[in-house]
Amino acid sequence: MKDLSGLGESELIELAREGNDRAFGVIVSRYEQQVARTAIGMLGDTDEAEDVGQETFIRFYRSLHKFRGESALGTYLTRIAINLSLNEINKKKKTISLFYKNGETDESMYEVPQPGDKFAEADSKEQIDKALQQIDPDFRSVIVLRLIEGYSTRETAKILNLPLGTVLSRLSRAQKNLREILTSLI
Amino acid sequence: MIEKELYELLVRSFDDELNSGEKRKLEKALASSGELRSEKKKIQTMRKIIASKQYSFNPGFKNRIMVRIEEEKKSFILKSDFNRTLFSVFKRVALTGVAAIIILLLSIYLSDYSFSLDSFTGGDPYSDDNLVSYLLYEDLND
Repeated sequence: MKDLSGLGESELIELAREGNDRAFGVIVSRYEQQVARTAIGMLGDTDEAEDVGQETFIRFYRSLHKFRGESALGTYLTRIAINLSLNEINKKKKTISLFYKNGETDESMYEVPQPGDKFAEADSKEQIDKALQQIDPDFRSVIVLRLIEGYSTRETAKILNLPLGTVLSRLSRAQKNLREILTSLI
Repeated sequence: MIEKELYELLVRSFDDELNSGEKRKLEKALASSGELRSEKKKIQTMRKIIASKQYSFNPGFKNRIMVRIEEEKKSFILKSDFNRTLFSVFKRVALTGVAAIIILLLSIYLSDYSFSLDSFTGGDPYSDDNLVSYLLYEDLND
């Protein structure tokens, strides 16, 4: 069987379009980490993140014939993953608001780490993860794309379909929020 | 206590290009304030930790995707089989309907040698074509 792992993005897409599932498998392996960074960065290490990851690739599979390669495949997949993650967060918010009356929430969901408690004893990376989950999803999305995925501010703006100024101000506010939450840690 | 404006400049300086005036102001403040320098270091550390985070799905992610794709293909085949069957049944029904209409038209034409409204409705061409007068006529006869 021919080794497909050495093939380029466009060749793999072409083969996948022709029905070669092994080629699609190579695409999944190649971009799994990138999609994981976006989905887990946005939703935490949860089942929902895995679902978003799977759905990202399934949607890409369904729209293989529509993909024209105007943007890099990684960026295309990241865009799907970030949109699906934001949808998932909105869905969750709606479910929460169905269960809790106005102003009445489950406090543990928005718990801010306090020095000395069990939460603060965990390692710094875990705390950053928790802190990320506490900031507004719109701010979180720019942090995920800019700091975790490493996109430039311009690319981040393009992926999120936002003006550059909005991305810059969200980045600035997100970092301030994170810094406040992590005061005890850093 | 760090001045709010300087803090904003510091945070912005990581992602945005500051103009020369802002750059000078921030550099000057960094040179004179240990607190601001320490804040810069903390933000840098935070950004480094975030950037270095390794995320991955549970093992077997690719296989799970491929299983879903296989299922998707099967359901697509089932759907298209169903659509094909439905279409062929519909085609037969439609053809039978068209044939029935043609036979009906032919039989009407052969019996009346015309396609007039009366030949379709079965009305008498010599009777009053006005329904009201026909009914009135019926009334008069009663």
